[in-house]
Amino acid sequence: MSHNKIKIGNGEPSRIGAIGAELGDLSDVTESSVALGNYLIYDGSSWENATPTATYAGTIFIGEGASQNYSGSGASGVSVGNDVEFYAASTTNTITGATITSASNWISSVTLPAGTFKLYAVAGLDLTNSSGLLEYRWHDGSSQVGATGNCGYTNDLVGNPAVTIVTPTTGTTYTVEIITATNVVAKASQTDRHSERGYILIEEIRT
Amino acid sequence: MSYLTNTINSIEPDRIGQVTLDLNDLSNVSTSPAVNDALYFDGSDWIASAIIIRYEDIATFATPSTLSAAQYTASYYNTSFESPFLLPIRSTLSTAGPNVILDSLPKLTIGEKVYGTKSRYIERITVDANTKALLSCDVCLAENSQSTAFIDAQWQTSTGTALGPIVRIRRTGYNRQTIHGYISTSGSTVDVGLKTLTLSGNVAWPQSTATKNQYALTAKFTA
Repeated sequence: MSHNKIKIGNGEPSRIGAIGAELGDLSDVTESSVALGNYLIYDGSSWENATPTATYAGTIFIGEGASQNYSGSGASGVSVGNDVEFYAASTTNTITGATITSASNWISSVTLPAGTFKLYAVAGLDLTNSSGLLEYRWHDGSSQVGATGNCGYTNDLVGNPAVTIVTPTTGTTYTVEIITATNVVAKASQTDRHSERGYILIEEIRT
Repeated sequence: MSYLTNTINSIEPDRIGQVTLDLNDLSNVSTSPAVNDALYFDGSDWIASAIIIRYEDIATFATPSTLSAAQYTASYYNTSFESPFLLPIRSTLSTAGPNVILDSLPKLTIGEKVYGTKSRYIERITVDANTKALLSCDVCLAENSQSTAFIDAQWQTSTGTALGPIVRIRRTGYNRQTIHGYISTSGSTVDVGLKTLTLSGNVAWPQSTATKNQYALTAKFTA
């Protein structure tokens, strides 16, 4: 009389009944020349070892150096509490679920989905003299967040960004809000310095 | 006489003793996979999860060198050498040095201009077709430039398409700026670089190690 012997794939029991089964012994797993860095990937019918197809973290980039006077923006003003708008005839947005709000190519806000993002903004509004100072921060609709950006009278003093990392759990709208406005040229007289030198950069860190 | 029937995770062998297992039959695996999912360990179980690969950044390319460029013993910058892009993103590099680590990376190719055996300058970046990349260059003027000198620079294509904001750069100690540009190519390669829009004052050649230590170029691919 003989008895059946349990097997798992090609794995047979040892004399004490222990079965050594590897991943490739499973019926829906196909291994072929497994190499360092492979993942077990489902191809629709079975699991196979492979190098995954690259995906990319999303990016929003607004700012193309265009010459558009800020006086033509939809901003309500250039005083403390006003939001700064940014000009771009063509924006880049590869963050899934993110939207950019604009009118006449002036971007007023960015709405981000749940995730983790790093936000940069550089503003370059005109100041009346060398004592002038513009400071600004990101604003999440209820409060200011992150480090303060600033710009001065001369163009070499444009480029100090407001920076923050945010982790919205649901769609959240972000603006760039002025927190200091000393000797700022009135909106009606603002030139194209801001559209030429200002920008928004948002980098997706984690979805 | 009775025999003990072995089971594996409640699955019994068939009449010839064969046990057929799926991943889900393993006690520490819980999967409801979609196409291209991978097996991912969440701390307690193996689960099906989409694979996320983050930035493919390129690193700083300008390896500092103490070599001088004999070609540029003249004190100040000559824009006639720009063809088509801004010299300050270049850096004098040793011919023996590991200067352009980007050459081995896909999607971007560094173009160099060689003026002498010890004088090589990074001149342009050729972006592959069907590539999207955020280019970021930290840069300042040479420290022996005139204190009031500046250059307004912008990422552009070789045909003059602007890729980002205009940035004013001055000599080290006065400012160092990050210049961003976004390039999206379609069916063919595109040359990009930093373009001088305005030059004011005496801008020295960016040859010293101190100046070159201020340079960094990165690119983040977004598709």
